[in-house]
Amino acid sequence: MSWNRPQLRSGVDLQLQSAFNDGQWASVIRLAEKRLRTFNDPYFEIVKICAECQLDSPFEKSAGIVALQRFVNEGTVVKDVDALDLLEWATGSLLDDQEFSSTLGTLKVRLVKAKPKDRNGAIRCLESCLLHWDLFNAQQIAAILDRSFPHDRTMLFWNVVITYLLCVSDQCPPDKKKLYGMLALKQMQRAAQSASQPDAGDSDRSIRTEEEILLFYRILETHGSDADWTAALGHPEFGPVPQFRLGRKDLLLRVLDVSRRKGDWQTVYALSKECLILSGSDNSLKLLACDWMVWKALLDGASHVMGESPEVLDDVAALLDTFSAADGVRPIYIRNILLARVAAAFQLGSDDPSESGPRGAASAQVEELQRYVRSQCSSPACFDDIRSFAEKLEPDELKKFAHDYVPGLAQEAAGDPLRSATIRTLAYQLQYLALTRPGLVLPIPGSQSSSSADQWKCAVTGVVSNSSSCTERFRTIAESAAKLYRILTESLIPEGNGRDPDYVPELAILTATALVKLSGISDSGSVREHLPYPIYAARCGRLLQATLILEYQLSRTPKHSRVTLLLVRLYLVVGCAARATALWETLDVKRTITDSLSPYFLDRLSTLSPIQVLPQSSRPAKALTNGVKSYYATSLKLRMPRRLADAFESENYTSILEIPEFINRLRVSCTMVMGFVEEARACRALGQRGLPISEEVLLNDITDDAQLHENTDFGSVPNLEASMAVPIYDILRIGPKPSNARFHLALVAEKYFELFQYKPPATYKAANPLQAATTDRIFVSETLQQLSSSASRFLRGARKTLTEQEHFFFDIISLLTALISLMTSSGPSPESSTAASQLVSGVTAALDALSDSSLSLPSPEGEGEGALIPMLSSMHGLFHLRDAADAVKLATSYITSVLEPNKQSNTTKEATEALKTLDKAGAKAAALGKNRIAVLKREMTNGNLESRIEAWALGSTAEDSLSKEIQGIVGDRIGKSMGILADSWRVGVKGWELVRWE
Amino acid sequence: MATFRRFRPDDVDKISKCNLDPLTETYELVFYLQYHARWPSLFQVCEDTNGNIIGYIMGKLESSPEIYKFSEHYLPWHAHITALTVAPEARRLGIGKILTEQLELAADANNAWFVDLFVRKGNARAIAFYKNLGYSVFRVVKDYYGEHATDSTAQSEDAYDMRKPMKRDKKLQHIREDGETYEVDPTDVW
Repeated sequence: MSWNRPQLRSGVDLQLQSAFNDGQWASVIRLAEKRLRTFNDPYFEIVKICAECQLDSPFEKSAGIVALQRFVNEGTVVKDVDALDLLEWATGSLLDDQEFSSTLGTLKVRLVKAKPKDRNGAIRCLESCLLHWDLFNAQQIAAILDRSFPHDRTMLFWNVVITYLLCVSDQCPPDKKKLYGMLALKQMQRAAQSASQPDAGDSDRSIRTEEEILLFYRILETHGSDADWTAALGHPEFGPVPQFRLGRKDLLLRVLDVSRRKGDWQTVYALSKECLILSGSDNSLKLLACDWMVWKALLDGASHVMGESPEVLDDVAALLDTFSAADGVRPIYIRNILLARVAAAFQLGSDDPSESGPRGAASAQVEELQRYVRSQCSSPACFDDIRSFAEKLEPDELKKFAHDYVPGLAQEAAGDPLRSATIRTLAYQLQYLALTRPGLVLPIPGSQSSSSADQWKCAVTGVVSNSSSCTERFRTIAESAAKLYRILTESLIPEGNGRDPDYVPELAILTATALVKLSGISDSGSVREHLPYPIYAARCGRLLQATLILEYQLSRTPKHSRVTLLLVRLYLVVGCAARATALWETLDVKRTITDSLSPYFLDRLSTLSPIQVLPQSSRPAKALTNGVKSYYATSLKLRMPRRLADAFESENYTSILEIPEFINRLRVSCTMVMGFVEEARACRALGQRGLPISEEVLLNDITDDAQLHENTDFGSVPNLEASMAVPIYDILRIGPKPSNARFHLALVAEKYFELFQYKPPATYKAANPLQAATTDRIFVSETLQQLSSSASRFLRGARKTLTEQEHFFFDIISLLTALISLMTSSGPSPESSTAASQLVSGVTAALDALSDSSLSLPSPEGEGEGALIPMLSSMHGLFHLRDAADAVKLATSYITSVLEPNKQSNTTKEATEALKTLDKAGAKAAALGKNRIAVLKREMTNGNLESRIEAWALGSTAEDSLSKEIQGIVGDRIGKSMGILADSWRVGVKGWELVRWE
Repeated sequence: MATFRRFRPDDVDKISKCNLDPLTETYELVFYLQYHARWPSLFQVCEDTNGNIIGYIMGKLESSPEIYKFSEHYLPWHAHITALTVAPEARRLGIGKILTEQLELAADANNAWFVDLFVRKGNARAIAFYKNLGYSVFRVVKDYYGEHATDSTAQSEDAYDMRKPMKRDKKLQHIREDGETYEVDPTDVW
């Protein structure tokens, strides 16, 4: 293959072997020519071609490609698989994967057709086609193999699975999809039928293994009729129940999933019930079906069929009672069974209001929740388990549950302080959950405050507020959690030693989360969209307090992932990117979790602090984005990973279907694009040179038609909110999550900068400068048209996927691409002048709006915390202001360079004026941005920063009991904590001083 | 709330609960895909209601290369536990035990002689866990780990090679009672 030099065919003489292995290409050419004359074996011609490909001149380098095309066009059949492998290796770097099918893939099929009985040769060709994801030729080879080796059942199933892969891929012509699909289906149905016949010995072509059965069902899902599907479910051997009896439950889980999607609730109910009964009664199956997914299926199915078959309620109750009474059940299964009881009470309980009361459905729900909590309250997962049910309780019930019942349990456990603390933590988490349920803050009818705004009251706490957000309702929970945390950390477990019980960091998280809510940072999506940055309308002191308690917890339990993840986002929104980066690095996010976790921190980092993205003293050799880029470079080295061939060899058909699906999605990952974009932006801002975006091989697939896939794993991030509320990690974000539109627009912007910042090597001298300049202009013009078209396409409807500043910035890029095209490619005319003038107005208006948005402060500059923290938190806008000013400068320079030589004849007065206006607007924006950095620099040295931060964070603790608690928790670490914040801001501002504004 | 099932490639997008734990190694994607491709029934996960993976076991079936057939260290057809991890929040619920038992079922289904694994000699909790499941020390691999997990002054740490016989080994010929005293070099382990 292309990445490793292959060995020459065995039997080739030692002299030629040695020359080839040593890379002595001139000798190889000479020796191969000689062997070709002597043996008249075409293999040596290909050896010679491959050696020529290794030489330096472009002509010789392309010898392999030329030979390939010649072979294809002339209908040549290369009958030697070693020769084809050599050719594949030699042309690997020059041949695009898209061309594989029409070149090497075609030759491989010809070879297999010519030598259908050469099993090993054909399998090598098949593997090569699969790894290049050439399904069209792979299917032909697989079909030939199946015909040539009818007694080899493996060949049958390879043929089926490849035919199926082809029919569901975009490589299959639309008019052939049905044909190939039916072909795969019929082959599998025939194999299923013959399974019931006596063992056919060598000619066995029937379904036998679990993997073959799973493949059968996969094909049935997409290409079988309802009758086919139903028949399969009832198959005495391949049905999910008979398979389950054999201890195989994957088919059951798959069938439940498919039936659920089809809305076939009768099947969902019947199957899950049957397998649960089997699982409970047959000792050899040992609760095999006692998974949450199966219980959920049973309850979902029952809830849909109980209208027609009310007896299912008794059946479900009996099943739950049987499992509940079973002995020796594993703790995880006990949880599943108890939770299934809770779910049953919520899902299958009566909706009849007349049944509410002591014996009604509502009572049953509370009863089951209480039973669950009583049994599982020591588990750190207890809150997560019950939250989705608890939030469905009526407000009064939830209040009683969270404020009376669970604290009562804590009281009962008073003799065991640690258990009691665990339960109290759970109670506080539930109390917080109750506060985040939407609709609990209600207007007080007829009330008017002095400011003529309505008054609002929290139905849970009774707190009255002038605002519908009523953030003060979180004060009590923050204070309660902080108090308990302080007691625990001071008295019960003064020494952290990195081994605090689970509930201690959870209390820190709860307190910090409540402080964030108390800060007033908006959790309403509609309001957020109109704020220039997240903390614009927030009380920063509360946010700083949240960082203090989390930092304190980290000092007790370093690297605690949940605490770290929350704190990282908090730091990002308060402008402490340096500290956020240091903490992020302790999580050691690398390799496979890169794709799903990197966006949590890295997305938009370059806009907050470009210097953090690039190499630092702690990691001098690499940028923060290196891990992201290297993950994709490693994982996507081949079109399909070699592991796909392993799956074929091992006859694991579900793996064969799942691996390509996953890899194809990885190729269009938002995280991958993010890695390249973040680095390019940081390099540009700091005047460093990186590899141009257009030369990144992995981005070649990202055409405008590629739908980028967003994938962020929030599973490890704390989230205590009710399901309808915005999670805390979304409140603490710089802007909307990664999206297809945003990253396509980011690529457009990077290509724009690359286009105009390109400088030819100093050694390059064009032979004909005039001709070279003309060619360059054509290239620029064509590229701009593409960029303009892409920008317009992705800006449409993208507003909600972008921050306000991103929207202005991408809008400016879009306008500039159109403007440059217009001013440099058409002759002067009144129409073009008017259009140019309108475009210039658009750019200047967008620049003004971007300046306002990026530099606006919630209160006049210089008023305590109202100025500095918001300024430090608004760097994202400042970055885009810088980029926009830069883009304008590049545009005016290029237009001038084109128009200047033709000034006398072509340039109109309007054009000159337009350019001046544009230039002035860009310069003004840059000056404003530079000024902001100068202000920040002054602020960093204005008095004792640490003392100022302490005053902002804790204010007058005598007046605020919550602040007093936080101060009490942090204790003598306060100085260190202030130092962390101050140092991080100083590093950040110093980094921004290195950013180039021209 | 948990469901046990086979691994799927997109599970790597939801494994942070396990893999952010400093004691759990994160490998390159191809490593996970290799196990999924070759031994899917020995790569099992436990997921919570939100699809987060809260535990997984990776295992493989193999024997020593044929060239070692006559070596005393030759390993016949057996299953090997490569990785077993449970998210901190989901520990002490028997998830590790269920995952291990599922792997053992797959080992029996594939006619393996035994299941084996390597564990740091100093990892008392893990050793107790495996002993409780019927595993015993077969041999001690000297200096198997390049660094010591708890002693920063030590240059290396020994490993216990632990085994549990499967149904095929009716005569228990692939385990030994005095394994703690039987020492081998890392070069004897393939």
